Amino acid sequence: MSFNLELPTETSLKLLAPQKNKNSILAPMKMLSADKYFEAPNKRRRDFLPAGQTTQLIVGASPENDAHIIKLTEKLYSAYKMKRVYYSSYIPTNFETSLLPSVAAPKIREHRLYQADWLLRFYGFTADEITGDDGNLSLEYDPKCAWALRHLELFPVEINSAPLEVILRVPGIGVKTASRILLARKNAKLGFDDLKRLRVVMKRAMHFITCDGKFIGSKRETSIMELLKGQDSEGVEQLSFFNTGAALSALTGEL
Amino acid sequence: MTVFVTELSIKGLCCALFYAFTEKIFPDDIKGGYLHGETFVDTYVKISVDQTKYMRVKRALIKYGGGETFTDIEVCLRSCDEKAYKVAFDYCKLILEKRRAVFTDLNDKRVSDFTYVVNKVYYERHKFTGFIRFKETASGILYAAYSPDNDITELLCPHFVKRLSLIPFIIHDVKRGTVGVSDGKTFNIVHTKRTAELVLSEDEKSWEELWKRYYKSVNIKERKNKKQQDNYLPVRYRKFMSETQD
Repeated sequence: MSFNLELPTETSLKLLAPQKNKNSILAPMKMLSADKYFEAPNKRRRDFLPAGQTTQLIVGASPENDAHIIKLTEKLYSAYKMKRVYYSSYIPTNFETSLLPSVAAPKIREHRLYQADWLLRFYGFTADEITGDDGNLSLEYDPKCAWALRHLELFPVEINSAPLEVILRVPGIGVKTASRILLARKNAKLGFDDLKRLRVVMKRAMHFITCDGKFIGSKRETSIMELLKGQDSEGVEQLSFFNTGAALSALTGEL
Repeated sequence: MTVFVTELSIKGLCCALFYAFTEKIFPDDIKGGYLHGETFVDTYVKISVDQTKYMRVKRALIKYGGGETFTDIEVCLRSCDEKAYKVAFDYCKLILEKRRAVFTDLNDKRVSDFTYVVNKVYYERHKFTGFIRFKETASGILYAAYSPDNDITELLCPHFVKRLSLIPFIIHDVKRGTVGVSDGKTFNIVHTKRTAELVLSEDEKSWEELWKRYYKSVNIKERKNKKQQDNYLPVRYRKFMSETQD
């Protein structure tokens, strides 16, 4: 079941959807997050709403920055026990109004928010860690990469001994790959060829890891930044190739 | 180069392993089915299937590798990959040498190749639980034709027996001629080269029209992404799906 928040703040909600009010959305959400709905009497599946509740936020219709949206997302997951938060890019219709922007939100922003959402749920990140100083997610790099580039002093990490939480922070290593690494290194020390076989994205990870002390990445910060720029293959491939305003903005990153 | 030739099945594989370990001759390649393309240079060893030998090797594989591993080996043989048989043979050889489960040794090429092949088959099976399209025939039996890369009909049938509960159905792999036939409670696998001659029920055409209209209306034009769509729903699967046949 989904109660759509649509807008991240009460101010925006009053301005753009005055017929809805904050309590009319949050109260039912809170009710559904009550503990009694999470008991499973037959231990396999609870009776009411077994798939949980979700919500949706419109991105780009109101002026809130990414930090605000991500902090809200974090609260929705923890306090409201949300299953998923969905983000929908604002697309203008033919009806012109001064309340809404006339340009569509860049699709890449929605993509970055989903990536940030994944970091919150599966990679152990907190909302404060994900956004940069300006409160917005980088359009050039995915949030995980951007975090790693801001904290280069924590790298390189030794693949054969680092704990899971640290390995998850390495760009190029996802949740499945991290658990494969942990399994595989119990039997033998891992080398770079082994990591390639374990499906680690070596092009990105090599700047952040050592294998038994050996390092094959670049040590200079500027060259790492250049090498990682635009390497987010998911981001580039998911975008439309039609040469319209929104798509072009998404491709170039210009807002 | 030594090449083993045996029946392309789990029995053939187990008998080949039995031969290899007793004669201490390990092949460079293993082929299933009939010999073709023989060369003068290679040595071909034909291995016959024997029930006792098969049971001995099966028991050893389950004892050391675990019951799930044995199922995975059977699934590996369903793969369309031409190296699948050799990959399964090497994996079993590793289990029997180490005398323990090896699925966690992911840095070993034999284990990672095996896991890769097996996961591809399971992934295709998972996709087809959603991509199969049934047509209702006049007699009330549901018929679905499809053409998967791997031989997954036997893996799909249990899912649909549960899903369709009590409705009889037929799932026809047109490429291989493998047919899964169910009366609603259990299923059987039949092999035939015949094509189906369907007499559809009265409502079937209307249901298909409805489905096509629903599919058209559910698509959001502004969020079209052909490349992503081709990735999620490969083009080769689409000819058996009513909504994509226009």
